[in-house]
Amino acid sequence: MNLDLALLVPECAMLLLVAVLFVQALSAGPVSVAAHRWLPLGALAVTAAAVAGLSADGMLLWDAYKVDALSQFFKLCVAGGFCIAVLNATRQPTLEEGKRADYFLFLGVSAWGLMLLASSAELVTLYLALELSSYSLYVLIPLRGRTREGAEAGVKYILFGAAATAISLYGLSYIMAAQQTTYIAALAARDWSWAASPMAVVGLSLFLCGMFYKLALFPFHFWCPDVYQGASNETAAYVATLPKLGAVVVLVRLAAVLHPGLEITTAIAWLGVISMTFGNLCALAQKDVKRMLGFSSVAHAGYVTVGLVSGTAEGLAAAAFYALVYVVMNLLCFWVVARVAVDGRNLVLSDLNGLHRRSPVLAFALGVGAFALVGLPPTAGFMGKLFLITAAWNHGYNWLVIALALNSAIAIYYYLSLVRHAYTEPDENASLPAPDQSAFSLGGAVALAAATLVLGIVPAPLFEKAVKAGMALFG
Amino acid sequence: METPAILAFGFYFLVIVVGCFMAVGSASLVRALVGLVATLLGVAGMYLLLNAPFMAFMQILIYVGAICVLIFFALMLARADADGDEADPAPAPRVFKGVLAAMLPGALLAPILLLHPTASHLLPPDVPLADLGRRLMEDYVLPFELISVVLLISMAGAVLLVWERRDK
Repeated sequence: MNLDLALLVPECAMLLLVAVLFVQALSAGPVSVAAHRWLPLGALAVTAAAVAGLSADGMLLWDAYKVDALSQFFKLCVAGGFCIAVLNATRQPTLEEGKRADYFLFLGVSAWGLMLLASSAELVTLYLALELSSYSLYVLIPLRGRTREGAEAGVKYILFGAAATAISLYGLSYIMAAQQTTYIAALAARDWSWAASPMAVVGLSLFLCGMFYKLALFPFHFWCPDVYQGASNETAAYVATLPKLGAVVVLVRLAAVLHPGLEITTAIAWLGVISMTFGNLCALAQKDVKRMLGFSSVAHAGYVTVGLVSGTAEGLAAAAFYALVYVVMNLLCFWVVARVAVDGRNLVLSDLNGLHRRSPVLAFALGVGAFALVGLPPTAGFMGKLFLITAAWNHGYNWLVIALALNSAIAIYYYLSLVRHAYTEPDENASLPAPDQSAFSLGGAVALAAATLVLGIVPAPLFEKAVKAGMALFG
Repeated sequence: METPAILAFGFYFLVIVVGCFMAVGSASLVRALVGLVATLLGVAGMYLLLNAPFMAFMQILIYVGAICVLIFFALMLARADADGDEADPAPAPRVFKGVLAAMLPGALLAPILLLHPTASHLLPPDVPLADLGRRLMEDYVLPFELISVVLLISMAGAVLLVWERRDK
């Protein structure tokens, strides 16, 4: 057996963090430091470990676990995202006292599962790593105080999630029966056209259903707005961002199987188009900010497919880069949402009225987030979409690229209505609690807004990393 | 397949289907659980037909012997109400829709499988137990270990959520 711990530094660091949280959740001694005080530093250490492990490369555990440029890139994204999500959740008003250590424990396990997912090179491992990260979320969502919405969101997420994973597992059995292996490297050498192996194609389609559920791609998007609305703002910030990274990394890995022109690839492209159109049209009618962001993430799932179906290293790199940009943009928007709703309520659009007067910094950060989600320069959203479009153009799915451009136009209306409410509507919210104006709140908002702008102005270093990761996949 | 095999297949199939309808349709939770036990036993029979006796015994040992008994205990301790909302018979349209939804995957998949049968063995091959164990401990050791983590997390999660309910 080959198990080189030096290759597993980020995972080990995360596991250590989880182990400490586990002990702390069991025995809240009088001298221990509260979890939300030390954890941001711990998460920062994990991020440092992920940076240190960025160039690791190797195959572990009988080739079921692959450490390569792609996995390390995503592990860094997960670690960084986890760090921000933890910071965001340190002041969670709707979480009961005494449950903080447990809350962070499950958040950590979920991120750990996503790290394992990034390295899985075998379908059963991949499925289990995904389950590990979802099981933790099943627990986190109903933890919002004692509200009905929280319970409703939790039940919906568990039931739909269980059905989606059951379908996924059933599909896995078809793949096993038809191709007699679950190793992606071996599967990539097989013929995946309908004419050659219909059963395998059916199996893979069913297997992908589970991934699409996590990604909230049409027609598996229905849970998304309800769950975001029901979960607390901080939990929604996590659920909306990092699991999407996991789904994208799986799809990027499976891109070795999904050549352009195959029936299944075309089906994914169609789902992408429907997803972006449907998500954007539904988002137009929303009043609740989190519901709107939910439908927006359905649309963004559609955008990511543009890079996936192109079948080139640049396309996969663009998808990976866009996933990272999506995470940063959404963490920024949710950060502002969580800081404006200091009492943990759900924000409606009119709650944002006059935000520029009450908190100019948060209003500006929200503006940057909204511009990035639309995809306007100089934000990261623009560069992400540009990479997607240039990578996918002339690889057989030009209609998909056109659909992306049209959809970005539809999306302008509702994203900019966030800015319109924050800047131009008169302030009538005197009775509502004032937004959090502490250095912590403003600093986080400024840092995330800066990250969104920097990724948009100098995307090259990260994008080149992503291209290198994509190249590695094509050998 | 030979005649006895077809007869056995039909028998197990009947056990599974009747068990399923009992599990979903009966008003009493205990009866529903007996239906579930019948279904699981039928599936174990199917494993025997596939020449996988070890799988069949594990299915009976774990699912019937452990999990169903555990659910019985949970029912007993929770003292589920016999006349709760769920106990009322469902209205006919809903039953119709439910049956339709349950049939849909079969209706979609069965034609594909019938039109494009996969190359298969005429007789199920014999897989020695040692091979199975070696595979689990070598090629599939990571998933094998991950399953235990998933179980740990689901247990810890259940404890966390149930604690919340108890001090209400």
